[in-house]
Amino acid sequence: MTTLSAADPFRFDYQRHLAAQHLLPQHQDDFQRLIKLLRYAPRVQLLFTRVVDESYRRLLIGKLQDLLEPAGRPVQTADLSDEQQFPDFAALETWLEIVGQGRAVIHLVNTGYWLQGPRVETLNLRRNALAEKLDATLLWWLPADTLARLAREAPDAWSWRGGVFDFIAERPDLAEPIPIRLEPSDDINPLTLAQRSRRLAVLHQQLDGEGSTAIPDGFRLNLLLEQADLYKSLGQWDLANQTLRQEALPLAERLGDVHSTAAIQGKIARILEARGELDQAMALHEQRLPIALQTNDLGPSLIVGSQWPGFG
Amino acid sequence: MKKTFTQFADAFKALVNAAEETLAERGLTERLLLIADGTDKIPLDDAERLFVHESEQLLAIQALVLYTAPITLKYGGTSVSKLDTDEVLPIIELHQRDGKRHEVGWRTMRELLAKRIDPATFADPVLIDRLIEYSGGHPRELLRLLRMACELTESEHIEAPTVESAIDRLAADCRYWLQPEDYELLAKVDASKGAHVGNDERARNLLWRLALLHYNDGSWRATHPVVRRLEGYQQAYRALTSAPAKLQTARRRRPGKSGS
Repeated sequence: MTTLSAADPFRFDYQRHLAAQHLLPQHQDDFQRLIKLLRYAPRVQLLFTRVVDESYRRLLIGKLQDLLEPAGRPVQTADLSDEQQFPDFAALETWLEIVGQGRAVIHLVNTGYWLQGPRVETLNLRRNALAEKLDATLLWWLPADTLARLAREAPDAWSWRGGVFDFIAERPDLAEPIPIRLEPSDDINPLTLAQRSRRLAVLHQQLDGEGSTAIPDGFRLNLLLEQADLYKSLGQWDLANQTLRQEALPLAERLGDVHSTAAIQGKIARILEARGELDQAMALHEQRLPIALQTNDLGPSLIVGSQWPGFG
Repeated sequence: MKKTFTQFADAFKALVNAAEETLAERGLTERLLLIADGTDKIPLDDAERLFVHESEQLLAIQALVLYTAPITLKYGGTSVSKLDTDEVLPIIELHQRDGKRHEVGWRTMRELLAKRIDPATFADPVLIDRLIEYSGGHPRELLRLLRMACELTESEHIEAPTVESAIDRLAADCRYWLQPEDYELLAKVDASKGAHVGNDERARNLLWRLALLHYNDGSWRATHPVVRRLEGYQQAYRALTSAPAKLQTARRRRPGKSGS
């Protein structure tokens, strides 16, 4: 992942939207709220998240960590299933005092069994003491029933909450994202970063989620082209190229859709141009030229314009 | 502290006396008023111990002191009146009990909000009033909603969908702890136009946790507006308000039935 400068809010905004695009669409808002709070919020905070799936929790924590550590926020995790290390609240408090300094972000995981009875009562009572001792955000990852119990049984701690974030849903199938590039796109997209990130999340769900096999091929092709355009507009050229070459182009060819095939070749060629791979770009332009001329779809290509004046 | 409380109280009294004498000599004032703010936010058990069971200690500090205490103590049958007096700091009234708008309250809340954020940040001034409406007139709730809207916004201006989303999220936070019986009680209060419906433990808990708001000197109450958006509340309210209609329908049918 590209190194993030803590002093550069634009980079932070850009990265947090890229990070969110592989999450489920219904989690976009809460993820963005959470990461902004963790980055900018006050010295001490008590935050609660609702989560079921352990692997999805790990994915979320990983994404948060990628964004927070370069921004100068040390990240720690307390696994409360370790009864030897955290037999009671006092042991946790002692540990927190040590690691919870320097604007740290501390994840508290595997809390379902641990956070009940006297420990809930102690959290309720000790929240002020913790606030005095710590320079950290405590992020409790809680199963739904534990969160509900905490809300009912620890009203003081609950009233002190900085936020509740809901990540309950099935985990989508995810591939490791390809490293991104930050060069500006030549395709000016009027959507905001947040809107593009959210739209990508929706497209991921439609194209890769349950029921994706039922999507008609023509519609699927449109979705793939939109996905590639969004990747490109976010500077994720490798992902755009991959989507076009490995999914959209074979599908258009299989459908015998020559116009779409030429349009996809044009999109790939423009990505290659932008990367300086001009020979490959020109080869693709030549391949698609007959159809592109018919449909007047040469696009904003510099090399096509220079080779064939009047076009591009 | 408990072991040396008498010494502390004496020393504190001497300090206050000396300060008051000095101020009086300089013609500045005669009495000092000390305000202990935030004591309404301490855990309820601690508050009860401080203000009820051990209130003699507070009285032993012979000074003019204003303490803030949780509202639930007022209605718990364990009155804080062992102290000289207890006053309710009311929530800012946005509507009167008969539903009429209370413009002074709206103006006050707008001024309060403007101290925290430039009103131009909102895409439309109407959105400010929307947040105020859903705060129920409680300043802390207004700031909570404002903070939520700021966290959610992804553009330079706070737009209408962001405001609605902030309101929904504050409502969702209440849903985690509200019980079906809570909804029934809240619906009962609203259906009876703010009637008191008692001060049992459930009512006090709802007051303390701000699901139930009280206005004026506590003379009437209303459900927090965000809670009214929850399905549980709406079902309870419908069940309550449609019950008399059903009863009347049954009564109207009865003579006909006997006549058939």
